[in-house]
Amino acid sequence: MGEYKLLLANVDKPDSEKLETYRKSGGYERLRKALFEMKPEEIVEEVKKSGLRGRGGAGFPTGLKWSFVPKTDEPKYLVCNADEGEPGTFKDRVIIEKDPHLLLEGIAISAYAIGAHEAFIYIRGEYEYGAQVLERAIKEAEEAGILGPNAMGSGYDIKITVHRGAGAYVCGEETALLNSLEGRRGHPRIRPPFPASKGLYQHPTVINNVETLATVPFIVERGGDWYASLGTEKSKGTKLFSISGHVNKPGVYELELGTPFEELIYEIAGGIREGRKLKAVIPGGSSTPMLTADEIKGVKLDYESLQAAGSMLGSGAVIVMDETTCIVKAVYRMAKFYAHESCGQCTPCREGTRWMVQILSRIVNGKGRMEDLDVLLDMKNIMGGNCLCPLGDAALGPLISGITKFRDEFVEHIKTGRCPLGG
Amino acid sequence: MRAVIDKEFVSEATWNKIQDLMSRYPDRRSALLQVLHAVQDEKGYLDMEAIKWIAKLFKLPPAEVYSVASFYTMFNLKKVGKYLIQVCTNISCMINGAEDIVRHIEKKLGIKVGETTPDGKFTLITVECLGSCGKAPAMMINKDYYENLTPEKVDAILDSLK
Amino acid sequence: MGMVKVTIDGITVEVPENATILQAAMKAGVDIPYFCYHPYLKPAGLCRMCLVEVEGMPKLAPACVTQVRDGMVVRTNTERVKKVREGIVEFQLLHHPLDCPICDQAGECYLQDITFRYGRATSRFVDEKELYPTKFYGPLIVHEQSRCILCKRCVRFCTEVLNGADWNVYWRAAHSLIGSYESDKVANYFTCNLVEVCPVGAITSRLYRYKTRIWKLEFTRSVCEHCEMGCSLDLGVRENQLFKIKHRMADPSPWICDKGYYAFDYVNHAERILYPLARQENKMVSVEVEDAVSSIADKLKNYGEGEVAFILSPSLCLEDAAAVSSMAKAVKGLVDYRVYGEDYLPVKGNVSDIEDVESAKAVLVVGGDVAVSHPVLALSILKAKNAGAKVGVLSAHDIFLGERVDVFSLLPAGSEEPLIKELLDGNVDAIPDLSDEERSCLKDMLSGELLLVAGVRASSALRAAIYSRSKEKGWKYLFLDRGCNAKGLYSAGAYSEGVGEILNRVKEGKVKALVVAGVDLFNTYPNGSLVKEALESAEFLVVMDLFFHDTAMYSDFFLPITSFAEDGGSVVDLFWRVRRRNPAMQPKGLSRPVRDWLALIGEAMGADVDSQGQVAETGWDPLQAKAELLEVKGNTVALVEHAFYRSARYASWCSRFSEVAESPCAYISEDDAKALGVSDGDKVLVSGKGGKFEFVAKVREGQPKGSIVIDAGFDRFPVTLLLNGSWVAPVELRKA
Ligand SMILES: Cc1cc2nc3c(=O)[nH]c(=O)nc-3n(C[C@H](O)[C@H](O)[C@H](O)COP(=O)(O)O)c2cc1C
Ligand code: SF4
Ligand code: FES
Repeated sequence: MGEYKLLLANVDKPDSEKLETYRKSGGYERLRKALFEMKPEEIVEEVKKSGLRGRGGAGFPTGLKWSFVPKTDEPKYLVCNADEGEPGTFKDRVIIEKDPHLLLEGIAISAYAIGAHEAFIYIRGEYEYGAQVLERAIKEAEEAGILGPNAMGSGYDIKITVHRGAGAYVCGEETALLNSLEGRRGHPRIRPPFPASKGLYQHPTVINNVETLATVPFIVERGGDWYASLGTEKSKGTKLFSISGHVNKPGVYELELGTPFEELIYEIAGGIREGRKLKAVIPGGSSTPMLTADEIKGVKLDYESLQAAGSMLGSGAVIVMDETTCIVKAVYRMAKFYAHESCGQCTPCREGTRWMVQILSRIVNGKGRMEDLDVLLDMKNIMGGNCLCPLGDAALGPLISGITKFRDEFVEHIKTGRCPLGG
Repeated sequence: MRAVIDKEFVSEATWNKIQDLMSRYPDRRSALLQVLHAVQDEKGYLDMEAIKWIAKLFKLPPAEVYSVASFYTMFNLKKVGKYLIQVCTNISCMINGAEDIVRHIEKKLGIKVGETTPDGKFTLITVECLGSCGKAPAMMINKDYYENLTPEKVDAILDSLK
Repeated sequence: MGMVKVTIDGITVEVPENATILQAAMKAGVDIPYFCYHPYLKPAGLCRMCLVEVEGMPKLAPACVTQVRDGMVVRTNTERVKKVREGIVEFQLLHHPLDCPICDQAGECYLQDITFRYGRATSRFVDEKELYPTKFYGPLIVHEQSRCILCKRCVRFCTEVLNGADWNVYWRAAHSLIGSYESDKVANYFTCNLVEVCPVGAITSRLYRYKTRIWKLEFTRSVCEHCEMGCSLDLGVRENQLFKIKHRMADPSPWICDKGYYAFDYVNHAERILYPLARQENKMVSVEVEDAVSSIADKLKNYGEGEVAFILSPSLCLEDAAAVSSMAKAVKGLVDYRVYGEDYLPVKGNVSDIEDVESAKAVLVVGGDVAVSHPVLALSILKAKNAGAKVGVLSAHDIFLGERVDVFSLLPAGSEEPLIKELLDGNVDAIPDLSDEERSCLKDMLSGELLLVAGVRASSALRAAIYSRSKEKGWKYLFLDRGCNAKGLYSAGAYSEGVGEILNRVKEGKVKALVVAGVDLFNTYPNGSLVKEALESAEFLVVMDLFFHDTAMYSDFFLPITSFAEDGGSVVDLFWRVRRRNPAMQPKGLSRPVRDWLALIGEAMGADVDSQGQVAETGWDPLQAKAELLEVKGNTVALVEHAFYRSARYASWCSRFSEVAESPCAYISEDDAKALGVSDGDKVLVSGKGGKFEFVAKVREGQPKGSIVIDAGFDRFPVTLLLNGSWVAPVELRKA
């Protein structure tokens, strides 16, 4: 357990984004192997065996997702989700900017595995530099005959297009992403139909996170069994963690799944700044319920352990808050984020997030009422599971965990009209 | 009817870029966001004229293009300053002092969030997570990232912008 | 389609396997509340009001989008569902102004009804409401964003049915706004559907604003009088005033147009003449019914064969037409209804239903602006397009449909017909201004299954060409007529040599007595000077109508007739079906239907007037057409057409509706505009045979050079003076 450099093996090399550098470490040989030595079904099988689960947040088994694509003649698409909008998450950016060819290789192999000839990278609009890096990399690879028509002389065509978003967190949700990719408002779609049967342009489409796709070349190279030997019994492989907040060494670290939470915070990320005490941690991006300092004791960083602890692994974005943090304000800030990012289509999410902000803003400004806490907690009954897409549920994560775990702090704000921390 | 589109509305380089973008997708409409970006890159913001021009290019009602453009926060539908300062105030930046940075810039430029300096040079806005949480607090000015901000660093950055 | 069994709250029903839970519940008689679901729009699942519990599903399911499964067990009466319903209603009301007492939707508002039935008694909301100002979008609709629940029914109507319009949703999250882009007008002919689909008081009719309360109205089913689609309407009357029209039955289409919905308030207009008038020393004075009837009878009795003529509106009902025909027979007179100067008679098309149009493989519209003459038909054609049909519009004038279809060319006004004839002969290249894509699409259309729609402007010669070509190729065809009951008038035999011929004979003194019913000829007949001369020459003129219009100025007697709302006649629709109206209110004053007046007059004359209208399906063969294809030459050729907002019956007395078209426009080409130095919105002068008229220039892309289209139908603006019997004439165009 602990740090394990698989995805991040190249990123510190000079000129790591260049094709030449990438090829020196065996780059694109996995694609060659896939195209020349493996049938698409075999790749899907290996990925299934590897136990790889989606790294975008939901953790859905990747091989299983791929196997839902119908074996028909219609066009199929692969979409790489590089929207990276979940607050606290900045891991995909490292791969995109520092090892773009790894991602492209992963995309090419995955496209081949599901029978797609066209793939899109939906990258958040703010990552314009990243988009340029990717476009340059695609050009390099096309000029080298690796991508494009007749990729590597295999007879298989693979076209990859970079598509920039334009400032909408909800477009990270896969069906909103598809609408955005079709030139529409980023409104999530009703499911069913699922993208695997009717996705982009109503054709079968697989959407995977950057990290997920970047892992595929290693599975092709070393086999599913090898990958499955990393991590824990149920959470296999490595995972990128973006750690931010009050730690000494924030950044992106690749860990074997199952690494103790405390090891990440206190050893790898150098512990809490200025010797302060830990107050709370958001383990997997702002939507995952926060855990108190006590609650992370002995918890391991993997899907099951975090679920057992009452939260989620999510996108692996660990936000560390020390004792000086006002939880009320933190919750208010996150609520504002969700209210700002709600697409506005469905009633519970649109109205619920706005109301949360209104109430929390009153509490923060010393005008709270005790009934407010009941109303806020009741949001769970109205919104929870009832929205059109998971954004509404995401908004509940910090709110409900914040109020239940730090109720005293809320009460104190309401009773005294002031923040006990002076915030 | 043969639609006649005024190519001169944008520079030749932008026009060529638009042609390229529109040829990239199986369905032309997919290029809409990219074309909005391209036109905004040239003009700084998207006014009604630009929206109408793009609508014509895509054979869509202007209302549809405006509907799409207004959904995304990166499209400026009103004029902004030469430098658009976008400070992230989301959770990781907030707990690392983003609010102080915002207050500092407000004071330095003499404007409030959402405003533009009278000389049209700077517009200040706050934005959601920029994906720089590991180097918080962070901001973008136009397309460039600035990270690990301190008031002193902000001063130096703003002073360097002509 | 297989059937499946579903149990909802213990009631088991059998429904098609692709039904939704909501549809199954409707069948089971279980009420599931909803906002965003609409039976004729695609389900969207937005409002979440319809959430229900499904056995075996952990989450609640939106009933409107969840498909049934065999054996599915659904519960709507559980505590969990109840709580969520309360929550959704509470959420919808958070920022709602709660202004029901001044809201026109009150009484038929989903939000009000659902709140009463499923809401909680009190609100927990203590924060500031975010409210928005009222926005008026032109004279017809008003939008209250604050009352909007963002169900997007209106936007979905615009996207799904109109294939895009200037009405959409902007921004996002709780600050999403609905409305028109940029302008304060909504520029399409179907805005009433926004009012109708809005389940709350967010979009309402300005005509109805603050007028009365819906529960005070009594509704009677009737049929629209503005075109041959014959849309089924419910007329809402209170104290013998017509306040509101609603479209509650999807008959023939789920949608109606702004004419049908808004152009009705003339019925209550203060200027309506409600008593018979007679000319005494150059003044019209009110007279007793008996006196008027006996004087008219005495007069008519004395004329010989061919000396009396009747000119009727093509919108009179079948029974009125039968009565006039029968009277004409009795006095051996002439009768005709083709007041727009058209030379064709109705021909039954070989499509028999709106569904045949909607399922067509390809549709080509020629010779008219369907969206003006038969608005709802334009929507059916779009529906066909959305189901995969190729659609083309080739016409000298088109505002709505052309820009939404695959092939569109605005033809030069003077040579519209010869060009279409060439196309029918297989020469696709004859059509100007097509892209390569359009040209090949048009070729494909002509070589496959095609439905040809001949617009109201298509002459009998063009109709003959369409008819014979269609027979040869096995195409479908549909001929559109002006007025809402042309087919009925024809069936009743109310036609002879044409209105032009009658007017000529009056002018020549051969016809001495003229009866004009339901129409102002100055507004309709494309030769204003002929109308004037004829009316001046007539020895005896009886006008039967609602208003004292320009034609009535020349009358010796004026008899007040009932409007469609007060009468129960029948009309024959585009598909040759008889549609019956019910009287929704008492006749105003001493007004009565045309047939009743004729019965009285007939009785006084000793003639028996029969008003049993029978529908004879067809008889006239378009191949009998003797006329030639219409071709007009000149440096500038003008097509005169009624603007949509002036094309309704009695538009001049429809206050808000006619206001939408503020001033008459002239559509001119970019080339002509440049040559004249005018730009959009400038004034231009059009002069010709009978005078000089000022228009607001509309520079239109695709408008051919040297060809203009000018608006007719405006008050005190007799552009028919420019014309010589057809709607196209050479004119001169100048900058004003
Ligand atoms: C509101 C919302 C935002 C999301 N944002 C992202 C994102 O930025 N990046 C991402 O990869 N997945 C995001 N997801 C998850 C995606 O919907 C999807 O599950 C994921 O891209 C699938 O890829 P994976 O299976 O490889 O994880 C988001 C989901 C929701 C509901
Ligand atoms: S205006 Fe009416 S129809 Fe449109 S979204 Fe709002 S509530 Fe729905
Ligand atoms: S009616 Fe089902 S979500 Fe609105």
